[in-house]
Amino acid sequence: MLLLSRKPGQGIRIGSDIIITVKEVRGRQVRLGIEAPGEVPVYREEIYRAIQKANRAAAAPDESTQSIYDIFNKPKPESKPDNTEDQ
Amino acid sequence: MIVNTTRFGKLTIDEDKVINFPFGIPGFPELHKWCILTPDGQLGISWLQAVKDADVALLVADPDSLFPEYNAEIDERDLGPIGVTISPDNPEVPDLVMRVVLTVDRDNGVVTANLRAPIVFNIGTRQAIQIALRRGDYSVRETLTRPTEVAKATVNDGMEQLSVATGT
Repeated sequence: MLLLSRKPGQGIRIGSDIIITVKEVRGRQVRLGIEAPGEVPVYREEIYRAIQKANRAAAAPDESTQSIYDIFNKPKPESKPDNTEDQ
Repeated sequence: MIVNTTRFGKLTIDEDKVINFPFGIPGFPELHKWCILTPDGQLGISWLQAVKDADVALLVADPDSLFPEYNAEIDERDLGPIGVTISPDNPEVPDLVMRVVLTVDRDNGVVTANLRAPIVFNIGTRQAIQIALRRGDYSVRETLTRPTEVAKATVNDGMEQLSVATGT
């Protein structure tokens, strides 16, 4: 990993088209400005990692595709109260 | 063209059903070509199958039928990679369709949806991208309390132009 120290107002250029600028440092938080071509996606790293993990779990091959459809077609059990509405 | 799939065997699909993800998806950045398979046209869920990796397929569903209050605020700038450029000279919004990735835990039947990072499809250009919403506090693993609702959803929002019915 390349380590660089920057002060507010200073920037880092990645390749020829991506520029990251340190806008402000306040306490333990750094505000960054990102300039990148429109076609390059930019993610917060921890979000990217979470999506990556979710996609890999979602894509894992399974023994039986039919068992997945059984879950979607199975009637909801009546025994337990529905207490999972916390969205 | 032939697409080998672990779940559905060897399929023959039209080239114009292949969807291009310019950056792949997180976890599979090297896989750019995908197709939408709808084994049972009745269900509101489909499989997003990687063309070049038979093992890789994700369940995707229309979020509106599962979470009526889902309000994904999509920044147009995030859609630049799939050919969406809205400007004063070009104010028309192209046909876009959104899907969310489902993860199924087959041991306990719990189904979760990734509401934080929906996949947006540009029907006209056959391109798509999975974007992380910049606003809102949606979960990457939002539990579906009623998975059977998906069975009742109909799919005719434009995605049928890209779907391949496999008839299994």
